[in-house]
Amino acid sequence: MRGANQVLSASLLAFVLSGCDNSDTYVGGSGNEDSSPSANDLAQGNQLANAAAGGQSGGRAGLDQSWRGYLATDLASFQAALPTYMQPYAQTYVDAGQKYNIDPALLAAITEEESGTSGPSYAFSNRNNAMGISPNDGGPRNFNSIDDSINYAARILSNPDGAYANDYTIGQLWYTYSPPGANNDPNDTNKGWGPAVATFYSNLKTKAGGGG
Amino acid sequence: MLYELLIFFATCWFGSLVHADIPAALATFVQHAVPYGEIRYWGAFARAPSIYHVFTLEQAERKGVLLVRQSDQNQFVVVGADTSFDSFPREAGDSDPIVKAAARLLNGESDDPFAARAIASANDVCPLGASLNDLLLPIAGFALSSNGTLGILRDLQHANAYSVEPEQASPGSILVCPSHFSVQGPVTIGFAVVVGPDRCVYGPDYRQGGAWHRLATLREWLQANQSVSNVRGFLLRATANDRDRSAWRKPLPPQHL
Repeated sequence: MRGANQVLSASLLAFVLSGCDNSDTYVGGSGNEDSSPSANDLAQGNQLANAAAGGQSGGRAGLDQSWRGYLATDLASFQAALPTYMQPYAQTYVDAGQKYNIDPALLAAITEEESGTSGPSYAFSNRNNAMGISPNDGGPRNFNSIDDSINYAARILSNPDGAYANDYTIGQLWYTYSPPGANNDPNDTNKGWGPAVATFYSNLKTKAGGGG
Repeated sequence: MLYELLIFFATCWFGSLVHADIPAALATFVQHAVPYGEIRYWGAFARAPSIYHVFTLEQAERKGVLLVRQSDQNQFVVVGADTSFDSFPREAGDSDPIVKAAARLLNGESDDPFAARAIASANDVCPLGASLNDLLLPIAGFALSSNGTLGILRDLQHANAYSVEPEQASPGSILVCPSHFSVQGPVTIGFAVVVGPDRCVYGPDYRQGGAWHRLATLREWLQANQSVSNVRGFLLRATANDRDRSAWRKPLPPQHL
């Protein structure tokens, strides 16, 4: 923008104006009004509402990346792209991705966010919980193995009748998997989940040569 | 070229000369037409038989643009006012040269408010559509093409969306208060907001670089805006909405550790 020319002091009249004719500003119309909103419409509305209230802005952070659909993954390069403590489970991410038609890099990116990039979390080490799964009123859930937790998360993410059925991008997934302002997130850490997973996901795909 | 006919330029070029160059009658007209907020004058260009004056307005969290036509020495009319030139009324078909000249005077030679866009430009006086897209695109997979309230209203009217009563808008509804003006004023810059889970409205605040904030309760916001414009409400349909899952309950989300 070029420099301003002059600031005119506007008279400070009341914001509420009376007697305005608003017929000359736009041609009215209506949206589609053929039915009532479904539960899905309202759920999406809640996601928007939470995003607005949480001050989130995502499009520029890679949140529009799609994670659905298995992408053929070179195991060696994928494994090398993972943090050291996750590398023994590279095959599990690939197998779960293939079985449930999810990009393995997305599953691994969730682990990186939930358990850390430099070392495993308490839940990972002591409860075999690689994916941050926990009930609303309790600590991290126990799994029999890391493999089980990865497969469990992949299964619920892919369930066509489940909570994630309408989530196609990481931004959409964020507000279901780890919604900002959730009751079970007293430290408000969910606020950074989406951008972090988007970044881990992008980095993994770059390091692993695009295939995951 | 229109901009070769510019008769005024920015302060940073001519400094104090500008004050003398702004017609007193124009200042009086604009101050009368814009009863609220801060007005900045950016310059003018001629296009026979008229002269056009370009202003930006700041009204609370909103910003907007105002174009005034001077037909002869003391005859002024408001040509348009909105949050962006890209939704201005087009007097000469799809590419009004007057609005293009005004936009270029404000934003530089390369600006074309009528360029075909799938997504609203983030580089605008008030990138309202782009700010909303930061939320809409990742969640709803839907993008506004305009930064102007009139363009946003048009986009939503054409979108796969329900019309909702603003007073009863459910969380996530988008409320649009279209900019309003009459040729002699008053001019009120509109806005668009999202209803939050707490029945408050949230939107970008351009006094703070467009950061999202709670602006008011829904009730307060409607009281302030419905008296100056026709507020419209929309709820976007879910992207994959082939089944009604009304009996379905979302499981508790996993906790972030």
